[in-house]
Amino acid sequence: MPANHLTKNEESILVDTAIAGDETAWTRLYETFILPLRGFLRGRISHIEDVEDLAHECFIRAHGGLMEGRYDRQYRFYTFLRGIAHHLILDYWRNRSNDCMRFDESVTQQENQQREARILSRPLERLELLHLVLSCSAKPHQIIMFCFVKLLEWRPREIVDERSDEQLSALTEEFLHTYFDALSSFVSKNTFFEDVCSPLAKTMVVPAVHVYTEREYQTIGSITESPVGSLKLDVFFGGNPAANISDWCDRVKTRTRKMLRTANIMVNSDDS
Amino acid sequence: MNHLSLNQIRIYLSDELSLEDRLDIETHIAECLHCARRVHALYSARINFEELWDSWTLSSHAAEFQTLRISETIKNTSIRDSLRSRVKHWSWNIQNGVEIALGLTVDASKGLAEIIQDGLDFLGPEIDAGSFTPQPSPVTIQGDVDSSHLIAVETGGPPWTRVTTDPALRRVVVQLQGSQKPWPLIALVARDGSWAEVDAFRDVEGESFLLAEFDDIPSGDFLLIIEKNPTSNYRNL
Repeated sequence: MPANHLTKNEESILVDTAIAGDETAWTRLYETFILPLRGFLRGRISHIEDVEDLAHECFIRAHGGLMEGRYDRQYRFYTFLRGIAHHLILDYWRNRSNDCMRFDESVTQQENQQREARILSRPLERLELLHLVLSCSAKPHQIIMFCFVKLLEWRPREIVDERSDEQLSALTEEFLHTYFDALSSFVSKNTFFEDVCSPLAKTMVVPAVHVYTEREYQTIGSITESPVGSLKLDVFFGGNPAANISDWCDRVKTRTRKMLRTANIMVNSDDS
Repeated sequence: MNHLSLNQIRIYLSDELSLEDRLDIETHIAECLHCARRVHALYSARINFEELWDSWTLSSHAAEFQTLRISETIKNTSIRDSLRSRVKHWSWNIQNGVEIALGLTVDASKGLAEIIQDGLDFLGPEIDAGSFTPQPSPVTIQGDVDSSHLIAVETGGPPWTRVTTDPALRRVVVQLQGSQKPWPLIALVARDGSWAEVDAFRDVEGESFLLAEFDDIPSGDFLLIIEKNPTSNYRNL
């Protein structure tokens, strides 16, 4: 059992002893949970100094809570800590936005911190979002068209006119290389192609019959034993191809949002 | 523990793990910068999904990486103490804090310089990158390695700005028609983030312009940027 995994009984004894004033017991609780608590905070707050401050504040409040009998024994101690940390995070953001509204002098400093956090994290957020899109449960042709319309800024009508006859694998390759070329001086090739893009790239070699349902099977006819990548874009078009493409883009957004917020939808890959 | 997978992070953020699994993952996040960044990125993406999605294109994504690199490079450049807080403040306001921007390519070994005015939109929609002359860009001059060849462009004014590059001497000189104190900051930043120099303009006795000089610059692609609104920025520090 890892060092930070106390049994409920061990934890209960430590809590009782700490309440009785034994500093060693409190130190043991602190040492057991400070690291995961930092991890919890680091996943939510980018400023490392603020993470440290909040972690210590959390333990101070937890100590007060124990002494004042506010710790509900039906929950584990770490759950209690996390609850406090959650409220501290809310206060943290609330205070920052209040400060921005209240004090002229601090506006720049606060805004700077927010800009800094934003500049630091935004490109990585988009990279994770791309990873989610390329792993989402929308169909491959929908994902590819989303990539062209939304990310490469093609108009659906242009795609219908110029790209209908192309295979999904060629369109996928083109998108991935265009995207990577633009980011190549910031993102490593391995990170991009092996981590972020592999879910979609892998789908291209799967027989279409394993990816498309029977209803969709009819529209792609006899080629369903072929790899997904060999299918041409126009086999997916209905009566209004440009409108189809717009619908597909909406579907990708819906799927991605759902995947981001719901744990029980699995992504299309065994990524590591 | 290996790095967390996308699925593991998603499930973790959905708060549907056992206490033991949560402890393991959060202990790992505390010790692994790579995973901490990914978890934070996905956590932020959950919270700001609509805004993030609406503004997402390949161009916006690349621009954000460029801004990040310039900000970090400027922030980490050695600079005299009196300018430190101004530069730090500027580094996180680059996207809306640039008055003038110019791309420069310098190859000292060939005595080659190039001035490029395209592709600077990521610094904000209103930067004065298109008003340099001569136009059109890029402006190129190829000189003899043994002699000094200048390439100069300038904006109309007032206030006017003139940028003179001497690739053989590895030198860039910028003149800016005088303005109120504090004199604006100016930075020459290697596009790959490997080198940068940041300073404030200085006045020149008997002249109506401010001056900034960069010497011994390495060969490479650079971005030259001049601070916007130094008066209001300085007041807020």
